[in-house]
Amino acid sequence: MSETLGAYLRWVREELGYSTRKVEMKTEQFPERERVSKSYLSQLERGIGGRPSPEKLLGLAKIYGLSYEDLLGRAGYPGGKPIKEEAPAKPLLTIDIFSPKMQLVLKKIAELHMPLEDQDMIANSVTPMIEREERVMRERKERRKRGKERG
Amino acid sequence: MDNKFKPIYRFIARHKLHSASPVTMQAVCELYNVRYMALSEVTLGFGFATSLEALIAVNQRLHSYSKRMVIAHELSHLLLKHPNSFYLCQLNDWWYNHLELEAQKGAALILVPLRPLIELVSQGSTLRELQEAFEVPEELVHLRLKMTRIAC
Repeated sequence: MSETLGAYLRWVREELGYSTRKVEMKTEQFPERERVSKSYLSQLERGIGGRPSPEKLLGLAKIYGLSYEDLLGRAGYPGGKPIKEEAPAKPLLTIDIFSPKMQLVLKKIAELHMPLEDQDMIANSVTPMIEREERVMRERKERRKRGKERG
Repeated sequence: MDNKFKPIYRFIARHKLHSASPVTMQAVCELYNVRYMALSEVTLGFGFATSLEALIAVNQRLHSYSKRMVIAHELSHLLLKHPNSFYLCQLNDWWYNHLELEAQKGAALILVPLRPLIELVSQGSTLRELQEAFEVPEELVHLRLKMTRIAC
């Protein structure tokens, strides 16, 4: 099994602040073949043992909010996305330049380690709404200011 | 009647959502600018609100019953004014988070009206038949039955 997949899964788990026990508990509700025990997960992350089954990868994709296709690709399954030698998914953009509301949205997206294509769609949907709200609020503020100046 | 769900009950009454069964979501789709998006399989949908407008987005790959559930779920977040105005729902989310569970209960209240439910259960309908009657996933019928403490 690819050492890269194991290291990647461990990085994601630690970024989420999950113990292996927590991951095991979260998968308990899933169909049996998708469940991941903590001992199995520990071996997977250390690159020990054979390639994980697609069902196990699906279970992990659901828990971690990752793209199932991407995990299949990283595990070397045909039909999965090709493994790209790049850093793991990061937040879409530097959020400091955005308004507080936009920062909140981007922060939540990043926390959940969403697939990049979902991040794009969400950001593209909410950005115009936030911009409209901010424009209206600025206009109202200016009208109040002008009103006060007139006395 | 649980007081925290009052906004849901008011919404149902104002828009006469329970005048027909299965519940039609047309009014909700128009009011909340519901959009269908090609999201990944782990993202069911999301809801977002500003002071001017609201949006509900649903994964277009879902079965129609699941789409209805996700719309009602996101709507519940908005009606219950859950914190932060941005609600993201992923697979198997609702059992781990009390706000997600609350929104899921709201969805059950919206899509599974009580009187038709009681009638069908008294006629001996199975969970599968209830699912078809209300056009929702079985898990939502199951949750509604649990909320009402009806055995099926």
